[in-house]
Amino acid sequence: MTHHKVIDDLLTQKKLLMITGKGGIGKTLITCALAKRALTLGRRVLVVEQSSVEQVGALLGVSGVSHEETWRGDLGVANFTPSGNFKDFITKHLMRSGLLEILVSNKIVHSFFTAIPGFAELMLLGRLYYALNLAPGRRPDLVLFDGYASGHFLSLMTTPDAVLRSGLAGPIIKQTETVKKWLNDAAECATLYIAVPEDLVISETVEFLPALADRSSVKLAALIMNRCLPKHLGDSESSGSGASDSVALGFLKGRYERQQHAIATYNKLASGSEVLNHLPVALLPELGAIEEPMNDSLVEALLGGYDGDK
Amino acid sequence: MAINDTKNSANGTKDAVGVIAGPLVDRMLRSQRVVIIIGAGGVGKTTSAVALAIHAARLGRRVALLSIDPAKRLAAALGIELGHELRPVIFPEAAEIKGALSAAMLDQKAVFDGMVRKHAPSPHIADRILRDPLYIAASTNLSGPLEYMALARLQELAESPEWDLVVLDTPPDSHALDFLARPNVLSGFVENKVMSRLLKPVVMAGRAGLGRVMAISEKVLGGITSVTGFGALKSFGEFVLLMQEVIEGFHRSGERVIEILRRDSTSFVLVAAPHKAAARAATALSRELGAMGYMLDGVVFNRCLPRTVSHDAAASNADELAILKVRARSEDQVVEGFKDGLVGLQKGRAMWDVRIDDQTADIHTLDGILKFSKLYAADSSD
Repeated sequence: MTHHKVIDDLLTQKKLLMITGKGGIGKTLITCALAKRALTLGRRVLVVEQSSVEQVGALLGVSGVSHEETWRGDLGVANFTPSGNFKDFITKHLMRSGLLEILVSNKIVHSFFTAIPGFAELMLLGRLYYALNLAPGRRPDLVLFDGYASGHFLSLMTTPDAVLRSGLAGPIIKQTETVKKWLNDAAECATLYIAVPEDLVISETVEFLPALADRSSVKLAALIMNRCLPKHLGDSESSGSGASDSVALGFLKGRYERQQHAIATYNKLASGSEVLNHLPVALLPELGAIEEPMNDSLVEALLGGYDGDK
Repeated sequence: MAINDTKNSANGTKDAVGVIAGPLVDRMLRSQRVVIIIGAGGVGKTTSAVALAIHAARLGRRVALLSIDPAKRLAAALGIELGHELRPVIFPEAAEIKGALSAAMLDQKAVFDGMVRKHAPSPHIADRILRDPLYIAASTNLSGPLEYMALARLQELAESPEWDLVVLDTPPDSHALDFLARPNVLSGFVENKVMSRLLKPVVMAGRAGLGRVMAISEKVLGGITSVTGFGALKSFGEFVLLMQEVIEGFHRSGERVIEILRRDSTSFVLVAAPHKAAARAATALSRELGAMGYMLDGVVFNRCLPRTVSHDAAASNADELAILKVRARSEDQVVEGFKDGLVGLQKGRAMWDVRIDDQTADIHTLDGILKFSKLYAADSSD
């Protein structure tokens, strides 16, 4: 078993990795596996999600996940909330807690801020910046952000520009400029895109990634192809275990054929695309189902190499 | 588009057979006025919404389908363009669709612009709103306004004698419930016109200057401007004032929409995938739905391992089938666990659930989606 060098390099060299992809594709699972791998590689890592249904805790075996970071050794977990981000911006980032009482306690002011387009997105990006660069005490080496699904993620990443164009001023603009500059720094921040080898997903991926690369300030660093079936399913002879004519094996072989078709389609389209041509792709195996919390052998099974790898 | 994956359309692959709750699904589609499809992203929600709408048309109803999770390929399969207007879907005669289906897959910016033009007091003001930088940011980056307008459209269609049934496909992710709660959020926004009362002085002060507005305002206003800068308040204030008419128009429909959503003739259908994380999201969704006073009538589990495959895998010791065994066991646990979690939420209403097989054939063609829609039917003999 060999680990993907591209993944290990990102985990050891970057400070912020944002994970995105179409819904239901395994973003959260992969984020958690990457966190455990980063831990093994000696990094202090914080996993951040911003979700109304908290999902990371169950996978990592951490209970009571909230907006405040929960640390177990060098692995931290947080589920950021929009109002928490706003509160942190005022009290921690601007360090003006007196202002907070006025701003947060007042219903009118609260609706004002929730109604500004892009405000919540900006606060989230600012909060990620804060966690890595400003927070007092021991900060993480790496933040893994279990990002939104593709379309929503693109809005998140284009928000700094929208706010800069919108005529806002004051500390918000100052903060936006700082955050934007930092997100632009390819040495520190990168995006990982998750897909699965199915025709429909592949064609959406090939359409979406150039738009993401064009409009998002964060560099697209790799494509992770999740749920790949093992290569031996493509052998014309079955492996002699007596399952050769079974419905179940037929089902798997059919799926494998479609997977190979999708991968071939990707390769063909990627070779004609400036963005995709040099984008590293890491294949991860199909595991059937995921035990929670995930243990080390599951992380190894997922990230420790896929037997269809070249 | 780079490739056309709809050409190698479905054939040669055995049609999957789900465990059918057909009679209850049919009863819902025959009797209800509104069916709302909710679910997290990536569970096949839009496909299920289209399939249920087609099946209702098969049962003889005149169906309007609204999707605000536009799937270009599904739209192409149905032969409609993305857009605000309902377009009739033309079925081949052999499909034996007794009723009719029209569908609209709403495009965010087009819909928002259309509503601004409709509600703004004059074309001049509409133009100003459409040029406002905050409006542009909102209409291209935020789905909120779109979702709100989809509800307004739902109300319009549900009250029109032209349609027997309206099927609404809600946004993906966990946003579905924000979406359903939005009428309330917006009500709060326009309540007593607080926003415009607060912001009017700021806009007026565009001429009078900053000093004056600080004199008018209290510490609240000072507090906001110290974070956003004065420019933001002015710009946003103008936006709100310009939007006043529009927002009030939305607000008026919003109250009626809530009433429609709570009617007995409205059903909610939850679409889920049979794995733990998806079930967790689905459980949360169904509980919140109950708390909001909306009724969940059915659950669709998409992408289930076909029974024939899981039985076969269970009986075999072959290594290569281990993945399937693990998956089959996990799916059963998840589905049963999820259903147990719903007990007590349904307040006496009979709830159905359907397991739909992982589709091996392409369902992004009209032929494919017609076949797929039969999986929901009471008579699934073919």
